[in-house]
Amino acid sequence: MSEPSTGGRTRDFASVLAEVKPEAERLLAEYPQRRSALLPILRAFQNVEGWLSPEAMSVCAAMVGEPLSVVESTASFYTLFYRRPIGKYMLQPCRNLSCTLRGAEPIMAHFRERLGVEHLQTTDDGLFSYEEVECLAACDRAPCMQVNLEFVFDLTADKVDAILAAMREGRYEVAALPQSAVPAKSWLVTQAPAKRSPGALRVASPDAPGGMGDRSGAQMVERLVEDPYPVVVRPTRERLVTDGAALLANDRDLAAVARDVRPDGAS
Amino acid sequence: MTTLPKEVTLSIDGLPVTVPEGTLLVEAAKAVQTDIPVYCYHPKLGPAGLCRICLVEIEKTPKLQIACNTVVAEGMVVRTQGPKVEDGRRAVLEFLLLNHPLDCPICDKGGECDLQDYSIAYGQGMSRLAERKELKPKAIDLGPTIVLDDERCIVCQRCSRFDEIVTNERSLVVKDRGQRDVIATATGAPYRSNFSGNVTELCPVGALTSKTYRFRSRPWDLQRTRTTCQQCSVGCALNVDERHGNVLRTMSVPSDDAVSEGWLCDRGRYNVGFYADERRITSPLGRFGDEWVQLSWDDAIELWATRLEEALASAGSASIGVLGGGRLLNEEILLVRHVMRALGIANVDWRTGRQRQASPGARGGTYDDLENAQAIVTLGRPPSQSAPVMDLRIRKAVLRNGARLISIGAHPASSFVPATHLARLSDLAGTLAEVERIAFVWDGIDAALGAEAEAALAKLAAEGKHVSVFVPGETPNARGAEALGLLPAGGALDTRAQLEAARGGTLRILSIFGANPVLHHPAGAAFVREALKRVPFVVATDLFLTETGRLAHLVLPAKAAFEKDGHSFDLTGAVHAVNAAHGAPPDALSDGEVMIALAAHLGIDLPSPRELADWATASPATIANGLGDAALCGSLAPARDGAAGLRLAIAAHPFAGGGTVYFDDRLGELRPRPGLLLSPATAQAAGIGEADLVDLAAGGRVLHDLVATLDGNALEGVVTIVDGLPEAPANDFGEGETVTLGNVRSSRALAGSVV
Ligand code: SF4
Ligand code: SF4
Ligand code: FES
Ligand code: FES
Repeated sequence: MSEPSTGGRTRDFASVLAEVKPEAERLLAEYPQRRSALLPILRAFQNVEGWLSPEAMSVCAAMVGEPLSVVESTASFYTLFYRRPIGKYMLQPCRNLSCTLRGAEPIMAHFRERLGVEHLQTTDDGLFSYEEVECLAACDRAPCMQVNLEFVFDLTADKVDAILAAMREGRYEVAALPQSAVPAKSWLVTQAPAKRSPGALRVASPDAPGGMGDRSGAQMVERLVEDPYPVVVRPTRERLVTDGAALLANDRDLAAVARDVRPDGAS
Repeated sequence: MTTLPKEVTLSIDGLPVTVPEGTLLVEAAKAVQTDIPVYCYHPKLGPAGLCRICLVEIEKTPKLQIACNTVVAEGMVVRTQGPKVEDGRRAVLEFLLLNHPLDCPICDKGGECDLQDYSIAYGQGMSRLAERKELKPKAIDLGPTIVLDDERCIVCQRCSRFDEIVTNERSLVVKDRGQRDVIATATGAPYRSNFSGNVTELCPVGALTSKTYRFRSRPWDLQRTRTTCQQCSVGCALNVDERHGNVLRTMSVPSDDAVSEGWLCDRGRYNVGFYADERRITSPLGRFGDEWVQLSWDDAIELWATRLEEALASAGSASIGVLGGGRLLNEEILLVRHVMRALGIANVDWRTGRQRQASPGARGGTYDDLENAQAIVTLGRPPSQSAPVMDLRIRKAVLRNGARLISIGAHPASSFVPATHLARLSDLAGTLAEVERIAFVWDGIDAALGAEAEAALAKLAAEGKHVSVFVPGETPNARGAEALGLLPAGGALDTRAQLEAARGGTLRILSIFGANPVLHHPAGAAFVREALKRVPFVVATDLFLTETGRLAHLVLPAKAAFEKDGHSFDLTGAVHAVNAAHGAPPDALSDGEVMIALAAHLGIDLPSPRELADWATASPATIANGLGDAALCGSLAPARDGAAGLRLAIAAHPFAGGGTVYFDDRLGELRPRPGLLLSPATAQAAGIGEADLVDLAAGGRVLHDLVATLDGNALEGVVTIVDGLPEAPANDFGEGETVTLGNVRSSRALAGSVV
């Protein structure tokens, strides 16, 4: 079960915004085009809030004058932006090609086993957030990972165990990340599926009639109008021709004739 | 003076090629007919350099280069084939197929898929991937029209670049990175665009599919016919793909540079369900009293002819009226006109809606003029509503050529590109001082405003500026109906006068060709209904039994646009061929065929087919250059109310109308719901919130339960409603009228009680 995006917050967004705003305004003034300030403003929000909340991304969009889709696209590209509250240590092993060829898969399996979490999850004690990320551009020392903002190269299972132990004992040295919300283990933030659009372009059933074949007038008119007109009958051709002149002269006459020749004889 | 571009000569596959400087290699290669594979490159979107499939060998360059983003150079020696190139492409394909699901047997793209084709040409046949494939979401409901399969996507970004470069709507983006990257919208937002269908054609694989076409057919089973779209007056070329008598999909014509540039709007693309709708009229129907009788064509024509002869003999041709024609093809229009003239009937008017004029007059422009204009001025309904693909040209002019977009009056211009808004036409003076080329788009509705505009434009032209005028038709071939003379000449009765004559009891026969004045004529539904009820004999041709048809005495089943051959004009006056792509219901006849039958019955000689063809394909300029007769146009616009209050603006909507859209169940939520649009400030002042239900009233006429939408782009003090919705007909109301809003109910309060 995923939690609402405001869950776990220890600080309300209004105060975050108040703190970031002056910096954002300074950044906006620095570039000839507003959109150039997008990355630094996203950074400014993350530095204060510890992650990029949906509110922060919406505000960034308004600030730089870009659609939210573009801001989300940009933020999602970078491993350094966290789109969910994170734990004390952000562990990001690389899962891409070079690292995989050099044994990233068993390393990641080892991580998952030792931490008891999956990709994008945080341990219950809030100590570790875990993300399997795309190429970190450190392929020459594969397999590698990033811890908070620093690289760790040439990973082995033993090295992972040593790092985790050091972290648990508080003797692992790495710059702390800002935090303003308690991460939750279950906080699995994935791309929310687009809302289902009911009734939109329903796919026609395969048996929808293609041919317009034969159908009686009554059936046809029933389909033509929601409030079907009274009775529809099919006068025979002969009848219409023989009584032609009279029929054409007077609506009432034809109606009468039509009633007479009602095929099923009902009245 | 334009300087000729310098030329560059290079060698491609041993053949000399001379092209203008700056040409991309991928385009230059077309000159020697060598096929360089591409995924991300598209001639209309330009290079992106993302996919690397277009690798070629260039002498003196150690590595293979991408042809799509390499500019030709003098003396360049290029090889587009050969072992080295093929090995490069093989490697690229191996990566593209690494995680590809190879759904081909159930993939709609199978058979016309670039990934299949290039894999056959350059792929290695076997995957060396031992690891698990990346799994991604499939069958994602991206919006009302489109389904996305993330696994099939090769992230060429054609779709997102289309949404950025061409429409500037920018809702499709790439999210995430590396193997996890996907095409997406902002979190939770559906992909809504009036041009959404284009991305299914741009997508080189089966990642983006149309809901209407998913799992319907294989491309090789489709029979394709090229025709011209008859859903609006832009005149986009269209390929109709049909199978077993069903229109399965419509596709753009990429080479249609003169008009559509290879794009289609969703109305043109998706509004094809009505062809097979059960509610189509499939044989002539006579109404006698309150009984409907199915008639044979012979009897129907005989009935009509006899009635005409009677009326002519007893009351003369002045007692006969003819309405409609803006949906007919040129040949049909000519036949209607010919038969009516032969009978001496002059009360003929195609204008059964709000539009008074569909011709641009002497300053009519081409789509090139529009694209090259430095300022584009829209007066009245914006073309995004009435001529969608033309609006893409306007966006192009603004985004790529830096044109200024200025809207005047109660309707703001398209909200997807920067625009300025002026309240009055007179505000325009002075704003165009530095501009040389001006395009002017008018909706043709308010004739007085049109005359005012004409005077302003004449002044600009006198200053030496190049002015081109565009009047999108309210109906697809309004331009044809007008140019080919379905107008009341010499003091004959126009639509309103005919309706008034009908109410006065002097109109004996009214023949209506593919028109629905009850829903569209600004005299209002009640007025038109009353008029029709007093005419002893009303004939209507149509696809469906519309509000108007139900009041007719004789209803004739017509053929729809994909079922007949002929020609039509686009709004610039260019003539286009319309070709039958689909079998009509057995008993339907085109309005042209009906006229031929009627003429035969009445003993009227018809023009020779040759003569007909000559007229139908002549340019409107040679027929008559526009209308130019203000007296003929008259002003139907209701008196403008200067009093304070909310002003009414009546907008068009691509999916409004009681005709084909209404009878296409698949269009679902694309159809606008009865509603009104307000600026947030105007709404606040009126105590209205988003999605509230509101009643709108003016002088005793009321529209109930309109859903309010707040739109930052709307003008202050203006309430906008949509024309042509059968559920809430706006034709009882006049543009610019003062209206009051009342009975505001919060939709939230109602939600509980409704469901
Ligand atoms: S996109 Fe092409 S290659 Fe992929 S499954 Fe569909 S048809 Fe096959
Ligand atoms: S969905 Fe299709 S067009 Fe869009 S990026 Fe993917 S492959 Fe390209
Ligand atoms: S693949 Fe891991 S750093 Fe590049
Ligand atoms: S077509 Fe050249 S890189 Fe994609």
